[in-house]
Amino acid sequence: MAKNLDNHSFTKALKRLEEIVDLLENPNIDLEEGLKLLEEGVKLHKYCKDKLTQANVKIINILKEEREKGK
Amino acid sequence: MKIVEGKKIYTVSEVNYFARLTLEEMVFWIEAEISRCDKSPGYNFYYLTLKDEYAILPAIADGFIIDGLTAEPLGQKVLIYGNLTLYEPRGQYQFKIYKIETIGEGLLQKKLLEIILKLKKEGLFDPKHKKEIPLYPKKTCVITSYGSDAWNDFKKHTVDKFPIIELYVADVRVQGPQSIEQLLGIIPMVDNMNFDVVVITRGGGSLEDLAAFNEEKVARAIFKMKTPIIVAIGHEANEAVAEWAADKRASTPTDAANLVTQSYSRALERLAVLKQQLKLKTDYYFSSNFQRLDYYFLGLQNAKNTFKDLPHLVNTLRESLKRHQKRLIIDAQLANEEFLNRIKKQAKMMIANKQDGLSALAKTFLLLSPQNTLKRGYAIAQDDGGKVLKSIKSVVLESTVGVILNDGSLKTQVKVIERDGQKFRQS
Repeated sequence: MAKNLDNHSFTKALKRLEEIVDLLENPNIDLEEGLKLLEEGVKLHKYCKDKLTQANVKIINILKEEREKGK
Repeated sequence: MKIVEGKKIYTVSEVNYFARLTLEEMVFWIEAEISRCDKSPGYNFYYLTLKDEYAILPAIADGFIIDGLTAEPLGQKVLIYGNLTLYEPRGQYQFKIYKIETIGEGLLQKKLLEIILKLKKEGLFDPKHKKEIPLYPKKTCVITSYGSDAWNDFKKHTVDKFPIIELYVADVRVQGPQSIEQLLGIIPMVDNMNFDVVVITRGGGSLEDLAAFNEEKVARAIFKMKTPIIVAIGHEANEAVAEWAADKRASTPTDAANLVTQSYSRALERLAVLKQQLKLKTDYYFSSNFQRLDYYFLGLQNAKNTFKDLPHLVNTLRESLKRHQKRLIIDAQLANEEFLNRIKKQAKMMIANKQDGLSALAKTFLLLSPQNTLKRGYAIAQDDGGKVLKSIKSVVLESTVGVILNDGSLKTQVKVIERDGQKFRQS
């Protein structure tokens, strides 16, 4: 699943991450299962954060260009 | 002057001089039509002829007075202020003009009202004839005096602001006697050039200045137009017949320009608002999602900590298990001991019971003992080994058999054996 990260849309990834956090909050979670989820969660978190940061930078630049054009 | 024979005698020059002084005391407002207006070849003044239906009056005026007229003076009925005078060298009587005013505004106003009423009756101002001004006009034609303030204002508020508008200008005189003719020529021409919108405009002025736009023919030409037409004449206060005949009126050239561009302006404002909203929403999207990610990260961190705590948990569990184990063993030992005790106790009790039973049994046994039987006269036979003989089958001929009696025993030899009704004896 983690290998196919690039096929994830950001929203899907975020949703899955939320799911994982919910699952991990269950104190009776199986260790092996928990570790698997944790690994996936950390990967998803990094993926989401990177995507979001990239998008944010892109938009800031677009708005900056707009403003410079307007000058 | 000289006095000859008691007569006062004047020269011609003196007469003309006196006449001029007398005449110049006569100051008038005159209503007249100007029938001639010639510039002096050498000097900057004009020779005019004023007339009415019955008479003429020569007049002169300084150049600036004529040059300052807004309308061509010839043929006009005007009000003239000045005084009578005399050109002494020629003895010519004439009127010296100080001021020329166009005929009473009141009169023009009356004429104007008549035109308005007439055109209104004909339905020229009827709202049903008004064409819509296109929302986003591109090809725009303005009929005005090129280079005037009106033109500059209009241009500034259309093409300078929104370069998408193609602005064409039809240059006409917007006042004076030629203006009507030029307007009547240009209006139908421009109407056939497929403009999105046509604007006729000029700045403010006196009623006389605006005369062309109060002209019935001009209003009719505007009414006939197929192209949407906006007319803006003068400033706020002015209102011309041409405006009434137009599809849309505006108060000033700038106002007319704003009518042409209003949709563009609105679109720009809307765009600005949308852009602002876009920015706000984008900001919100990013901040909320970053926060969410941080929150989830915290969740992941917690989960990680849970796993980190696991070895400790396992240790604790093991410790407690050990404790439990010890207790269990002790408990088991205690239980075991108690059990043992109970068994012992029970065993003792059982033994005691059995002993009681035993003495009872012993009595019974005593009753059944062979000794008693022997006493009653029975005997017990034994083989050589002392074994009690119960069956004849275990007795062999000629063997020694012991017989126990109540008070002693004997040994005897077997001579005969009876079995199954047969007698066996030693042969």
